[in-house]
Amino acid sequence: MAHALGIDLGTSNSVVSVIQGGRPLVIPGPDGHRLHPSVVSFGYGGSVVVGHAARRQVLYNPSNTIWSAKRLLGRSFHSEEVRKSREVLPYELVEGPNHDVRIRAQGRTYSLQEISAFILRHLRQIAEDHLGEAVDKAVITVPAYFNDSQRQATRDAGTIAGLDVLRIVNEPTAACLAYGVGRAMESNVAVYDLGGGTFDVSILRVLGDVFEVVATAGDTFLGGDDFDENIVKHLVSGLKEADQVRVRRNPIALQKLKDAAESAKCSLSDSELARVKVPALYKDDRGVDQDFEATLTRAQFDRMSYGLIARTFQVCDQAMRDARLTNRDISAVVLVGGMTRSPVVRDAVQAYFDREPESGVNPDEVVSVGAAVQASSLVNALSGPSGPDALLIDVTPQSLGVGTVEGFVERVIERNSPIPTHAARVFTTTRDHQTEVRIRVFQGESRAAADSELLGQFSLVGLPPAPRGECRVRVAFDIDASGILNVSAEDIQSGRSASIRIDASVGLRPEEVEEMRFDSLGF
Amino acid sequence: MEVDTKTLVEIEALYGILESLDYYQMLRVPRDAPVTAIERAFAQESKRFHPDRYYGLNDPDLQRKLTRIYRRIAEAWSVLKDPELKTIYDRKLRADPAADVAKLGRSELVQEKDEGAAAARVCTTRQGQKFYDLAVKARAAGDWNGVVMNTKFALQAEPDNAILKEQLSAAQTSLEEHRQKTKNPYKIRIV
Repeated sequence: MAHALGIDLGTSNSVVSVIQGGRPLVIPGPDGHRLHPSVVSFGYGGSVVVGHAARRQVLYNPSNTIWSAKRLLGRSFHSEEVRKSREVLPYELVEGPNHDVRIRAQGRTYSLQEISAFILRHLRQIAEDHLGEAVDKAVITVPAYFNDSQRQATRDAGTIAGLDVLRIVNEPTAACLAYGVGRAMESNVAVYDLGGGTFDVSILRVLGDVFEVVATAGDTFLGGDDFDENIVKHLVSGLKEADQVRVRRNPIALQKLKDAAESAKCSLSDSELARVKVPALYKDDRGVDQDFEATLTRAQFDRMSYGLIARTFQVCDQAMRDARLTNRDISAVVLVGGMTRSPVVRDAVQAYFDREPESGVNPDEVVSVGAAVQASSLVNALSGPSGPDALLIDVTPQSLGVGTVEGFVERVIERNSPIPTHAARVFTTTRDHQTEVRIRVFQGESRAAADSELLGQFSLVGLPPAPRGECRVRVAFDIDASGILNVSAEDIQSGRSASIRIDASVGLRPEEVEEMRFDSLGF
Repeated sequence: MEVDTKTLVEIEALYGILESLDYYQMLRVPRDAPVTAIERAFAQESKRFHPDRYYGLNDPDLQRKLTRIYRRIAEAWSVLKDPELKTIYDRKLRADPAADVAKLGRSELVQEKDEGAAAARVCTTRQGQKFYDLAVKARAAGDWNGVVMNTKFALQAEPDNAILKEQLSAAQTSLEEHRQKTKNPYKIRIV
């Protein structure tokens, strides 16, 4: 039986799993850790370290050590997120040729796909060392609310690392697969996934070994990091005015404080009080090192977290509405992501769904295990209909449509449509004797083009001249089982047609990805 | 990995007649089947025809055919599980059994549903509908002041709307009753 990896490529940590002898195995690194920090550090003379070794470099080599890269992956350099990140990140971001974000470290420029590829290669190495054989197939997970560019960027990262990426699967979906496989359930499962950088919720209908995603919603700007930021703000506000400015202006001090805040948050999961201690956090006006010391109670942390938790429930409301379900229809709640270890989050989720979350699910590992389940059922599906493996029926996470002249988006495929799917709409010309139409493909829930994301555009030319409204163009959207979108336009009268495969509008061209492949570079 | 000939023949046969099957035939259930039975049938057909079940065969032509077949299966389920869309679809099937049902796409059904929803709208103007929606929300929250205020705003946009007038007077009565119940002499009255 061929092995195929399940990889949870996380904002803070990554996990790699495999199905071996019918059982899931979370693969430990040589140091025994099962969570591998998503950190890449570039040293002098071209050395690259990844994982725990790189994490130790965050403080000592901050400008060449890349963390939280997933937050920037597939985003435009001019987006709000990237602008904000440039202010706080200690490493240098530069604009790439296609408005994408690149990173400068040790005098070289790297695409974020390459940074992610270093992490993927590291995970692959861990897996191969453990299994004692070469593995080149993988399913990689992404937040459910990742858009097309971000998914494509993740796929490209896999290709650069020399992996054959079988699928990009949504994290909450993978978690549900891992939870539900072999349970012979007939029920609705809610997955609440609060990770380091993103929040997702998915509702799945499980019928035996068929997993149908019913609704998915998410917020790509809400995660554990925001809870840490709240703590940092609270801690800094306890300092004298002048010292507050000193700390805020010092990225290393902020990073130290953020690390301390994170570990305080984690220890508050088991205790009522956490001590925060950072030696030599900043220098006072006489240039003397000042230690930082403070305490944080669980009650204080809970109070500053309610606002963020409330935002997750707005997202849950949307998913439940889309699924047309009420709390009573949900028969299991699965928690995913390190943040869900926090008692305040657990209690709030329990109150929201009026149901105790499933115990016995490891919130850090379940996503990667689910990815391995999907990978294994793809490469090993025995004989189609009689195969024993889980079948996942996924959906489109966001609506897709065509831009109109007035600046609106006409929807063609609604969000949460099961894939593969096909839908078409007929559009007419808006000017007399128009011989060309421009088809702009948008993604998002807004009806206004300005608030939607442009995925790609193409023209259908050579239309027979006719009065406006008489020339009819049929625009068809096709999404295959792996989520790749094809858009075609056809002049109904003449049969003339044009089409594109939607690749990321912000990102690498296929040739670039080929050039970056590690195996061709000898990395 | 082997797929038996029977299955392959079945896929070819289904692919050939795809354009002539209605949603019920697609899922192989009778037209009066309850939704639970339709769902089970969907799960069953998914296991038989989802392209992922044959991914390991590395056969692009088979994948293409299965994708077309499965697309219809998924579409059938997405219509039949939605009570409103199913009603519209069933009506069309009954009205013209010989109709080219397979050509009837989900988007046309959705369009008809949206038009039905538009006909059920109380207001004809955008402004009016906006305030009417706010009034409905306020009523759900038990905020009678809000109901009266927003209905009045809606009436400003559509002074001749009889339904709005009726609802305004009902809301005003309710608001007065509510005030009597929760009388507070220190509150500023909103007329």
